[in-house]
Amino acid sequence: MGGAVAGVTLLLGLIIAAIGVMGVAPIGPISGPVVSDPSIQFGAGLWVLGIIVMLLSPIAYVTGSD
Amino acid sequence: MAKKLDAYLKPMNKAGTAFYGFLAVMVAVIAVGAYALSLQFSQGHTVSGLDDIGAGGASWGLYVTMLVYFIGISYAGISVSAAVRLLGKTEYKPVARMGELLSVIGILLGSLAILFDLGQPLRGLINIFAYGRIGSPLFFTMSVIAGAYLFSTLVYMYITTRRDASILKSKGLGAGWLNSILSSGYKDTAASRQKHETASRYLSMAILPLLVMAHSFLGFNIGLTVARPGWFGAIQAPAFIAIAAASGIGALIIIVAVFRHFHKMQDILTDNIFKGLGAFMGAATGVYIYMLIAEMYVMRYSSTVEEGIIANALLFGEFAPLYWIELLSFAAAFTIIFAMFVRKSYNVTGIVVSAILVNIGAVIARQLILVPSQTIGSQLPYAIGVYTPTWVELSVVAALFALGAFAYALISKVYPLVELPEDVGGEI
Repeated sequence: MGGAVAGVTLLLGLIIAAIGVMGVAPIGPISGPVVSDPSIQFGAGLWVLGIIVMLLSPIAYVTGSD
Repeated sequence: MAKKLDAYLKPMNKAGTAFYGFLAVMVAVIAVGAYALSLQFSQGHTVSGLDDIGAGGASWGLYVTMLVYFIGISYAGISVSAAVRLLGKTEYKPVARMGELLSVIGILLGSLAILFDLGQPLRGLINIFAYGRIGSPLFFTMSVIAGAYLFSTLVYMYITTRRDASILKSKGLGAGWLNSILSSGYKDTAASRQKHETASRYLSMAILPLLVMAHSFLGFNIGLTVARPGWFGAIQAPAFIAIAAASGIGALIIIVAVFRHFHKMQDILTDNIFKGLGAFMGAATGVYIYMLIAEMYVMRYSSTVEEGIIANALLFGEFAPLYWIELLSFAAAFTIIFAMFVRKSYNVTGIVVSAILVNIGAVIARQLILVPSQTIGSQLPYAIGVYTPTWVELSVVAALFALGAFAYALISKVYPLVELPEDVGGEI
């Protein structure tokens, strides 16, 4: 059970981080404000949040039932 | 068994006058720094020594130096924990948690240092999450270090402390509220211990690349700046890792020595631990000395005019006193450790002295990486600049050190900093 919850937490974090990565400004040279601005406001914050959620998975594993 | 437990919990014993006196001094230093910071926020950076590069100053000064230094000393935590969990070096278990707390405090202090560098910290904090570019080493440093590295270390500390917290709670020792939170739902069975050991081992594996990435990207912030002579170069990232290893382990050695001395823990914080940590610190210091020499050789032999100017200033000019103090500090630290190992005669005092020298050298090194390239190394026709930190910056930096020492001392009274061994506790 603990392993399953940990897996779900890991996956959820990965999804959030992926959404964040897709929402930030594109990597590469800036050719204008349309390209340099993020497509999702606080996309970078989502990327960090996704990493944090992924890191909660060990807690889910150890606190979950055996 | 009670006597054995007591030996591990000595730092949590009732505090005496000396402890409260120490805290009072730290609070006084923090208060002065807070006042200085309030002046900086109300009057702007005119009260600090920072200035625009084109206006004859340096915009990255003491605060950024301390950012890099504090993040650097955070190297200690997970590297020792990884040695314990992944390499089976269980002899370092007593100091692993001390290193982890040092990492957490180091990252937090580094984050504060960079916020204090900003004219409008809140705007900086919000905008970096709103507009951060993932391709930017600056943003990646912040997200990997403050986000992943800090949080993963906190998670790691939580997982490895649960058993100790449950033992302390069952015996009515330590801070009841903290032990209740940490040990909530924990049962000290063989299966549970195995689960925790597995989780901490895999977490160590995950944190190790974060450690390398964090310090590398800190170096890339400097090394990828192509238009700044003295900064641009591939050596910055590996050099940052080397000096982080040296100063981080050095800071841990100092902290462990303080605990060993004041709490009389020679039987737990043994000479062998100092020998091992000293060896690692000495090796990292040797690597960093090599990188310093290699970098200077390239700058002097075949580089741009601006890099040559910087090299001359470091070796013979206005930055020479600091540069030679830095080099001699590292050289002395390395020599002390090397001599001990050649003579097979190890001395805790000598190792601690080396650790202090390494950390002095590390602070100076960071300052000399940052400032000369801004004040004299410009490729644009700016006038020669000068940067001297004011009492405001020095007070704020002193307050950061005091805040770290205060937090560490206070936490040591409520949180078991030395991991309890397997044969203490039992079924709870």
